Amino acid sequence: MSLNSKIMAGIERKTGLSSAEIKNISPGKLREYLTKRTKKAFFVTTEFPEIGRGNILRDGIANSSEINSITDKILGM
Amino acid sequence: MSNTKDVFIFYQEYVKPLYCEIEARNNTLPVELLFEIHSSFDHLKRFYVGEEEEEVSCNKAVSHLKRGTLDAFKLKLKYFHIDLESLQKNSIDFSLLDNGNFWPNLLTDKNIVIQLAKNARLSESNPDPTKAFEIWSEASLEIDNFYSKYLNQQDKIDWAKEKTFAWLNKDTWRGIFVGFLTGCLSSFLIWYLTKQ
Repeated sequence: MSLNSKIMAGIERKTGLSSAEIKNISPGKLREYLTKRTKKAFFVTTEFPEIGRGNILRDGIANSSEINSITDKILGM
Repeated sequence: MSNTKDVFIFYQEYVKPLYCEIEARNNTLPVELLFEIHSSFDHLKRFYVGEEEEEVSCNKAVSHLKRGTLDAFKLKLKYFHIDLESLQKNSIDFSLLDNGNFWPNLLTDKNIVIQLAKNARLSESNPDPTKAFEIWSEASLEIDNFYSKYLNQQDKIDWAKEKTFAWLNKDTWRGIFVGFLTGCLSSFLIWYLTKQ
């Protein structure tokens, strides 16, 4: 049971990581790595209605620093 | 899927790489993909903490993961479409490339991708989800080929952009400026020579 080797080779090219690294890296480390590689902040986005069967994030997108800044504002920090 | 280990193997072999590919494009991850992992995890919980049989929980858990992988393929198709549209908007004379074959070949290969993706979409209603996964995999490979043959040929595209004829470009403005200056200078010269 494994992904088509040509598809995996394409993913390796796009990410700059080997198949084993992709399978073993933690989500946090991957995010750190991709942030450095793409020189962009990580965002959680929504692609609804193209995919997904329901979505609660109707107000747009927010990155981690924005979410923290909103929390900090609520806490008066 | 008869046990939890199989579910985790599926996650490692299919979900992680395909999600990684989506994330690597722009360092973003759609929440809808994460929802499938959330739902999958909840099904596994029903075996460990609830009273559901392991096989039932695992089958349900893996069906969410499979949906996540199919969604990742659909996103790949969406990004392909966006990149192709953006290339088309550039008003480049593609007949300058590959002896005029670049654009006709691109359209032929685009149709192959679209046809495969259509077949994959239709096969999603098939009771055996592996069929849809196989056809989506083929479409995904064709998309990769398409990128390497056309969309990632940036040097070629830049060259064609540079050579594309345009009525108004920097050379036109330069020509108008030089013409205007020459006209002024020659008028001045004629006026100067004839004033005496």
